[in-house]
Amino acid sequence: MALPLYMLAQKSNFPFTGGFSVRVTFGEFWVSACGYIARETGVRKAFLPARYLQSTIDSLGLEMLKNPGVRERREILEDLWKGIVKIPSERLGRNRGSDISIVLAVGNPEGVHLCSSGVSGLWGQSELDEKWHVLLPQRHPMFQTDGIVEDFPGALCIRIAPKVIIATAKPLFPMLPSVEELHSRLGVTEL
Amino acid sequence: MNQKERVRGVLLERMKMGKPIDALLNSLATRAPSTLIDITIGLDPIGGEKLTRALLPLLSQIEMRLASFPIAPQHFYQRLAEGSGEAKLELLETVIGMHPQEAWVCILSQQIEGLDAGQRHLMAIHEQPYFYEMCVQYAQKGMRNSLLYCAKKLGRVDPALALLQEGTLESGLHAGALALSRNPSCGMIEYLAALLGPDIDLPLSTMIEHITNPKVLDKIENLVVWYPRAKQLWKKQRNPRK
Repeated sequence: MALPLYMLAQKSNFPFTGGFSVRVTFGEFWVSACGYIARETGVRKAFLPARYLQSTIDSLGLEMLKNPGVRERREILEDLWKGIVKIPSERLGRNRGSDISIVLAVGNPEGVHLCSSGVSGLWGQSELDEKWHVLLPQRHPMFQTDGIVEDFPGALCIRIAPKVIIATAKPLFPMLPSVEELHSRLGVTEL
Repeated sequence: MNQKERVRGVLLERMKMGKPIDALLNSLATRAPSTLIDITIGLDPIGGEKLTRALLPLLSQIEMRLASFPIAPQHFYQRLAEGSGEAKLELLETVIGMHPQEAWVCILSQQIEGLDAGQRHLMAIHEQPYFYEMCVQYAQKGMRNSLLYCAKKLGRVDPALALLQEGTLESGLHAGALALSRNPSCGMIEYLAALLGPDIDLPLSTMIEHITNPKVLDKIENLVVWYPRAKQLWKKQRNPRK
C-alpha cells in the first residue's frame, strides 16, 4: 500500500489551498506525492494548477509503475521528476511553479526513495514505537531545493519505510505541532 | 398615583382611543427615559404593535439611556420583541440597521424569525466584510434555512462555507449547489477543495446531484473533470435521458 504522505503549510482559513495529493499502487510498487502549489495566489487561482499537477503525477505514476521494464525505485522517481519538469510552466499558476512545495516518493517492500522541493522539514512515524523521527537534519541540501529545477534534486533512500511521512512546506519553520493540532491541520482523524 | 402610573394611564388611554402616541413617547424619551423603559419592558409592559412601531424612531435615544439602568441592548430588544406582535419584524429590521455587526442580533433574529432566523439579517449585510462571520454565527445556531436561502438568492459561497466549517456537510453541500446554480463562477468548487482537501470527489458528487441546470453544468465542467466520480455524475445530470 502506498505510503501516506502529508504536508503542513502555513495556517489558513482554507488550509488546503493549492493542495495536491497522489497515491498510486501497482503490483508491489507505489507512488505517493503531496504538496502545495500557487498557494499564495489564493483559493481560486491555486485550484487549477494543483489539479493539473495532481493529475499529471497520478497518470505518470501509474504509467511508470505499469511499465514492466522499470523496476528501480530511484529510476521511477527520476522519471517522475522529469515528467513534472515537462509540465508547461503556464499551467502551474502565476509563479509558474516556483512556489511549489512537494514531496514525491516511490516505494516497494524493500524501501522508499523520495525527493522534495520547497520543503523545510521531513519526519517519519516509526512503525515500532509510533514516534516521530526527523528524517533529515535541518541543514541538509535537500531542503535547499526550490521550484521545479531541471536537474533531478537528489533522492533520499529509506530502507525501513515509516508508517507515515510528514513534511513542512516552506516558509514554515520545521517543527511538528501537537498530535491534536496535526490532526486538525492535516484534516485527518488519525495518522 | 405616582408619575409612572399616571403616564401609563395616559398612554393606555390614548392607545385605546386610537390617538397618536408619538409625541408623548418622544417627550418621555427625553424627559423621563426610566418611565419609558419601565412601561415598555418592565414587570408589566404595555406591549402591542402600535407601541413598538411608535418606539422605532426613538430606539437610538432609548439605547443611550439603557446603560444607566443597566440593561444591555440585546435584553431590551428581546423583551420588547416579546410583546411586539405583528410589529416584531419591523423591530428586527430596525435593530439590524442599528447593529448589523452584533452577534446578539442573531439571538434576537432567532426569537423573532424562528426557523428562518438570519434571513433578514444576512440579506441586509451581504455586502459587508463581516458577512461570512455572521453566516458562521447562524451556522453555529443550526439556522440552515436562512443560509440556504442566502446561498440561493446571492450566489455566494459564504453560507455554504459557514455550514461546512461547522461540520454540517450535507447542508453545506446543498448551499454550495444553490450558490453555483445562481452563480456558476462563485468559486464554490475551488473553496470546497481548499477547505476539505485535494480529494473532494465524493462531496463534489453530492453537490452536483443538486444541480440540474445544463447551462450551470456546462460552466463548471472544467472544474469537475478532475474528479472521476463527480465527472460521471456531471454527465448523468447533463444528459439525464441517456
